[in-house]
Amino acid sequence: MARASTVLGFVALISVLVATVIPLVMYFTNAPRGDWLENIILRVSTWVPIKVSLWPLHIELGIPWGERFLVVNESLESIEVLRLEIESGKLEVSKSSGTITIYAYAPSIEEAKHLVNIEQRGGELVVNAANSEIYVGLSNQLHKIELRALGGEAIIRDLSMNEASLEIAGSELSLINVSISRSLSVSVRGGEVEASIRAGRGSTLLLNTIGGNAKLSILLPLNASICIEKHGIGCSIDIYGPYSTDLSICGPRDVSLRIDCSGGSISIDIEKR
Amino acid sequence: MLEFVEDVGMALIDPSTLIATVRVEKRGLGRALATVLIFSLGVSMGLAVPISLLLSRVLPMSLGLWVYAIIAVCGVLGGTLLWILDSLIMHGLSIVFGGHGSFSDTMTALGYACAATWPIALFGSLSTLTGWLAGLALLVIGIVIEIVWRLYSMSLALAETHGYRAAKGLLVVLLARAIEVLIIMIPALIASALWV
Repeated sequence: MARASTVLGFVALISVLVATVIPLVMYFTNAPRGDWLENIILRVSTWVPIKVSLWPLHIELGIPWGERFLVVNESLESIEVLRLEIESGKLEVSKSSGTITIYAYAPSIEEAKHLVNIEQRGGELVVNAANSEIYVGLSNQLHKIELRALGGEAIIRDLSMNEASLEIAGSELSLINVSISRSLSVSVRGGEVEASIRAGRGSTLLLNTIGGNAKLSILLPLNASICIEKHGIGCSIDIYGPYSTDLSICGPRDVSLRIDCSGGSISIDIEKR
Repeated sequence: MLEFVEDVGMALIDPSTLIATVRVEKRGLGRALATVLIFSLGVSMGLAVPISLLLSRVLPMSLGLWVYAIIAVCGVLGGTLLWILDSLIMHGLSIVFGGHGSFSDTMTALGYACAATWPIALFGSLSTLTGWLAGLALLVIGIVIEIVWRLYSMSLALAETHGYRAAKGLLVVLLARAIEVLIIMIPALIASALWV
């Protein structure tokens, strides 16, 4: 009895010791949990439990229920096929060169050689890419997307989201079949934006271009507003919507607006004064 | 040190003998208090990751070291307060049921019984190494084992302390738990009634 109680006492005390130490070790080592990693270093700025499975050219990062922040930096260079699953929270992907393709339920780009496959239900998506090609095709409802493209080409298609912030410098951005329910901010610096957007009721669209070209085709519902801060040469906006009332336009100070209403549609041409 | 380890094991296997030994050797509350503190810390840290994940779902924050620190402090304080509350209620009930142990003896018995919380610490820490569904299942398993084991340990320890049968010890523990639930529920019900 004495030996059994000693053994069980050790087991119990070691259990509480391990339970006390494990969170601290995982915190200080930023250790991804679960499976093996080979040749790929994931740097996570704050500790989150990550389940990683690695096959040749295939990685699955399953971020389980509950995490809000995942930051992956400098780690995607050698990943050819990446699959991320996020049920909530914020995902940030940074890449200095090459191609990032992000899609979910988008069979049209299945043939892409380099895939970052993200399934996100709620939460935020942040993509930073320099000299890269970005493809985003998410059929899920996103809470927020931030995309910064410096050089390269970005295509976002079949996407429905609450908020979007798109910053383009020297890049080409195409928005195809994109729905915005709350706000869209497009900032163009020397690049080109071509977009076909459905805006939700009460949503705000902010276009800010310097030296770039933007061609936006926007289907507006009632109570939508457009704010144009600055623009570049060649900036043009076509707005289609059956509701011409409650459409407010703010700024810019250095452009003239010509509005032609024909039937249920409004077209706005902006010319430099 | 080895004696303490053996005490912990005895509290899990044969709490009656442990309490009888403690009474004969006229030990103080020191080891019982150490048991409460160690296992409260272990349980809180074992649950720290699941709790942090739960918090991070409702709060816009990242998981930081301070979260673990707060959980650890709250766990130790909560465990100690629960030990005192358990002792007060179960000692009162024991007296009502004809027990003749002292309040200090009751605290000693219930303090050692805290060792039975170790499955929560173990399964809680294991849950951090699995997916959320498996982790949740592990947590539930750990809690169920802890409940059964602690009922066993507390009942026998109280029976030995107060000189009544183990069944009466079990009844005291269950009644005390019911009273504690009422203590928590009544203010909540009053608050909700006032709120409506």
